[in-house]
Amino acid sequence: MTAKKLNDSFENVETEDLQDLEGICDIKPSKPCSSLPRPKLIERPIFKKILQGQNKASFTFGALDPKDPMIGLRFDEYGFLLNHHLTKPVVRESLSVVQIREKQRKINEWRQILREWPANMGPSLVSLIEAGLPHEIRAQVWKKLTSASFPASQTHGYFDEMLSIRPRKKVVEQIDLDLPRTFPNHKIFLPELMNVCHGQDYLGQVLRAYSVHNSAVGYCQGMSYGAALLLMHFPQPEEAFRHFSFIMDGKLDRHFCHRMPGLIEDVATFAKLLEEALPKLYRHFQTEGLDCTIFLSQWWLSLFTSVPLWSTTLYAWDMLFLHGPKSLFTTALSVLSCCQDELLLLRGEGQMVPYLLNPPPEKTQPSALCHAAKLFNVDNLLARHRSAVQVRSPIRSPLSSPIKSPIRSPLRAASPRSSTKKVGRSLLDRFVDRITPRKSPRKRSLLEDEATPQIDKKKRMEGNDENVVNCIRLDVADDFKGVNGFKEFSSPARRVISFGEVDSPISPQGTELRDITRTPEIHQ
Amino acid sequence: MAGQMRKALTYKLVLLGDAGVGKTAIAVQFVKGQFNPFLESTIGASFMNQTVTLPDETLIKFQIWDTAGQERFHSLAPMYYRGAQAAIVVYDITNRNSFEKAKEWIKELQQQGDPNVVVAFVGNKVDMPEARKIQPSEGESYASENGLFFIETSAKTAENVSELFMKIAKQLPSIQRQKDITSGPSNPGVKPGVGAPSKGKGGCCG
Repeated sequence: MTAKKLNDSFENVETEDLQDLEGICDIKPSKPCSSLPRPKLIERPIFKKILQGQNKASFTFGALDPKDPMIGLRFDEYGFLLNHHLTKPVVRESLSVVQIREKQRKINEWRQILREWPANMGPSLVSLIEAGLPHEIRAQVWKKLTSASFPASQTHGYFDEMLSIRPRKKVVEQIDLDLPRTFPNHKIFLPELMNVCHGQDYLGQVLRAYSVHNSAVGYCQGMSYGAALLLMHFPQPEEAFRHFSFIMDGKLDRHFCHRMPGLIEDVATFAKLLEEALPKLYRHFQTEGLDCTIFLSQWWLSLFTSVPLWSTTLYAWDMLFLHGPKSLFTTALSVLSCCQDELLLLRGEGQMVPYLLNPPPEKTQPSALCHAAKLFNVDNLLARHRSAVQVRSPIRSPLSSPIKSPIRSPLRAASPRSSTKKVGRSLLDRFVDRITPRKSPRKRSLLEDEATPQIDKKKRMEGNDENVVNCIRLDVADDFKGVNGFKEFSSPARRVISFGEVDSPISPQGTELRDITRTPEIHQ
Repeated sequence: MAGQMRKALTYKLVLLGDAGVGKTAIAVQFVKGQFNPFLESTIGASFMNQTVTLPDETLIKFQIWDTAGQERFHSLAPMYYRGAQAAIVVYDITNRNSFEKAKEWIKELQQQGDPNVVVAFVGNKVDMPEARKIQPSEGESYASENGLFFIETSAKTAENVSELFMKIAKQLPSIQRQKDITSGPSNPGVKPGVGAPSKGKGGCCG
């Protein structure tokens, strides 16, 4: 983009879009514009300054501090612009002193765990990660989770080598088309700050390198969101690339390649899992003629970046790094399970699809999904229903070196092992004791469901047994409230998924649910 | 009669076309009366509802399926256009490839879709006349050869966007009527519309 174009785009943002801010922020278009709160506008002179190249030195990643008064832009804790024309107006609660201390304590403990990271992941560490990571140390944990699995040949110069090969023209065109459309409301991808943040450049590099690295996939829309999410955590494109290939290679790439065979197989498998795990909801989908592909294609191909709550997205990614592609099934089942009661009240595609494409933030808090995930034993379910994730062909590298990645079996890869280094164990156990309940249902589900009587298991899978659900809540929820739960409640719904869909159930604040069971089909 | 309840007729409408031609932008302009130059790319498909009122007071509720444009998502497309009563096939007037791709979509709809589907052939981005590659006559002649209706729009300036949907809406009930009441009066009394459907720009009327 030339400087002029940049200026133009900025002009557009100011004069056209910001005038109509209410509309994008508003879920219900018919509401009179004047009655809505008008979010604070971006301060124009500052952008002008940036565009003229002044203050350039201070506009590094670090300088884009949420509180930097010079900039006048406000970001949430994940780096998404607050009160932007692409962002929902957000009501944020500030943390109390106690909560801040608690959060700091958790971060410090995680730092120690990171220092003493065990060679083999034990179940306690697995459950710790499942319980929720402080955002500050997330990238480091992901790094630890992947470090053992990178092919040695990929460490040095591989990324540059991939970058030096030009992808096919069609691939380049599609990538270039999507760069400015990928999280344009995040601080590193803001179109207005493009020439100081380079986020789009780096994103282009990661995607082009990957398209060469895995030429069978090339580039598919949706991948840009995953790569962009990684760049938010790993500012170096090379590192983002490595983690991206960790997620994709030999596992999810079949979801994205030509004709999407992996997606189609996995959706079919998911339907079987759903039938077994949430039979009521499955029957409801059948009655209403809803095909799982409709929502799964968006959830899975966007790698859960399409859901409104960013902390939900990050939870899904934690699980992806921890458990591999089978976590796509678990997370999707958990979301459905959390929303089941409301979904059962909705009728037809017209009501159900908007709900599913935009699941309500208050129902999909990571803590809620974590609880719900305990209700399913996806390993068992998948073992019974052959899944596409189990059959993965290794990708072909464009270089003839032995880089051809030793693809790990996704299902075996993340299975928790019992051997933990002694030093890690004692520390972990102390930590786990604090945040995990005694006789924890979490531990039980980690250690397999085999011991659970058949009836009980069935009930748990169905998620109907109130006792089971309550007992999990009682056991776990309290610990979460202080540590993670509160934070998540205060985290903003990231953005409006463009479809401001007339019947959308999410309020601008994402906190209350409108009655969408009665769509106004009848008009006076 | 005052107080008479009228039911909105619900129709499924699908947007098809190459990536980046402005399918989502057209839909968002129609539903919310807004234009955003940096709309995120559509993955899989997205969904919107919008109701329009015809001059004869008929209510038409559109269930709009906005599909992903990249070739790769093609295998998912039949799921969205199957059962659709209306389709909008969009191309970018500044991009010849997108025009060719739109023709392919038309062929596919003719072969696979519902034979009664109302198809609009739409050239988008008329706000960029300097970059135009496809002349209106070219689009028009292709449309008339194939019995489609043709219109050029700009999702950015909203030019012809509501007209596009109004035109579709006017064709829909008549098809329905022809199907339902073969012997009944065909009711040609639907006058060329003046009123745009409920849109954000001016006075909003729910």
